[in-house]
Amino acid sequence: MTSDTAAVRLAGVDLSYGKGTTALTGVTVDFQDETIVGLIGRNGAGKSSLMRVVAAREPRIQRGRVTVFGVSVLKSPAGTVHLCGEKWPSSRELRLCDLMRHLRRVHDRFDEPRAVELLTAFGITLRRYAASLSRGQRSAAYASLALASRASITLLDEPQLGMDAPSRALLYQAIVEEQALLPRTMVMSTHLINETAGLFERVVVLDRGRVAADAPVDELCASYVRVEGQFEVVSQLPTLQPPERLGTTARAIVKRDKVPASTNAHLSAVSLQELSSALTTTPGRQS
Amino acid sequence: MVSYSTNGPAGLAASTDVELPLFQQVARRISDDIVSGVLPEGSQVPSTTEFAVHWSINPATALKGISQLVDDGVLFKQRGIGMFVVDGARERLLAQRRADFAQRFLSPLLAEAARIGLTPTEVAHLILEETDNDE
Repeated sequence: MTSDTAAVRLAGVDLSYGKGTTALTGVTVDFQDETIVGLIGRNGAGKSSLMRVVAAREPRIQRGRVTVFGVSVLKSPAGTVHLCGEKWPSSRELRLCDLMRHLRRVHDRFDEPRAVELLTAFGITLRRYAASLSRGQRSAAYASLALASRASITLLDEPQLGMDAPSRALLYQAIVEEQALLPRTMVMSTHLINETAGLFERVVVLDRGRVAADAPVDELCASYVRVEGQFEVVSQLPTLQPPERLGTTARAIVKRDKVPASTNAHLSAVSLQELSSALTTTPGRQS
Repeated sequence: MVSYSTNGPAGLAASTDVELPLFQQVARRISDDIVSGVLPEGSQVPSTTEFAVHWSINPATALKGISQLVDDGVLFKQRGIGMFVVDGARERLLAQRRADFAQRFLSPLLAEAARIGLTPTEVAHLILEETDNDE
């Protein structure tokens, strides 16, 4: 989908890391301005790579163009994009306040009181060394700083890694508060789709380096249906994956418009989490 | 792998509404609260942001649901103050609910009755018996 309000635009992007590792193939996708987009897909699908490309951390894409507000990512002003990902500095000498000082310089909308407010809510102080935090605390700290950075394009790569349920709930509320207060383009990759689906206006599904789906959440889910019935009936349909069997019955997900009205089976709605699994294949597996 | 059938927060929508798009679940939820009296006519309803934060949903989605209620004449916006329930909204919603009742509740009921071999007449008898017992 293309639009004049695209904040981030990837067009025909190919990215390989050499040694035959292809991360992205023909990726064409827009991220709309002031929209929260979910970026979902299996491990190794290319989510982190895509975010790194947008954050200009992958200068050597083999093909395609990547622009942020119409300007090539490599020429975009520093501070436009913030990437909160796994590869954050965690040297022994780095305190969170040092990180914050750095972010304040890079992002001109960085809000220090907000950063402190969020960190405090997670029970983390600025004096802490990043490396001494638990995995969940580190995620909470980095996500807090990412939100406080208030970058126009905020990329959150699995921000909830290792966080307990109450902390995740806090994080989601903070994301909503921030978006309401100061709308920005947010792209968030996650595996915890059931609990985050409500945050997203749109979702982009990556499958082995390609875009498998790119649509508003409601529309995407509404266009598929779960079919349950006799195996003979279900297996006649163009199911996304081989039907799962239990005795003589089977269950599968199919595109709604491919299920004839006369089909003798029980139909029910599909969740985004289930759908993303059905639309994708684990890289490296024989499908 | 089995997972939840709703893409909305647990508890937001009534069980009959979980398959609706999220913004419609929002509209339904607020309407339910008006019908039940939780949100009296003339009272202020939570802001879009408050609603979105409370349910951890995208503010744009909350806004879409609330805007639908404004378009339907159920809520009105007082600039600089907030959103309020329109006078007469409850009656209008009740009329709408009565019109939807057959489709929302009777269809599933009769489908189940058909599955287990109960005729509509038998269902009607059961309903009367049930209400007799309650009285």
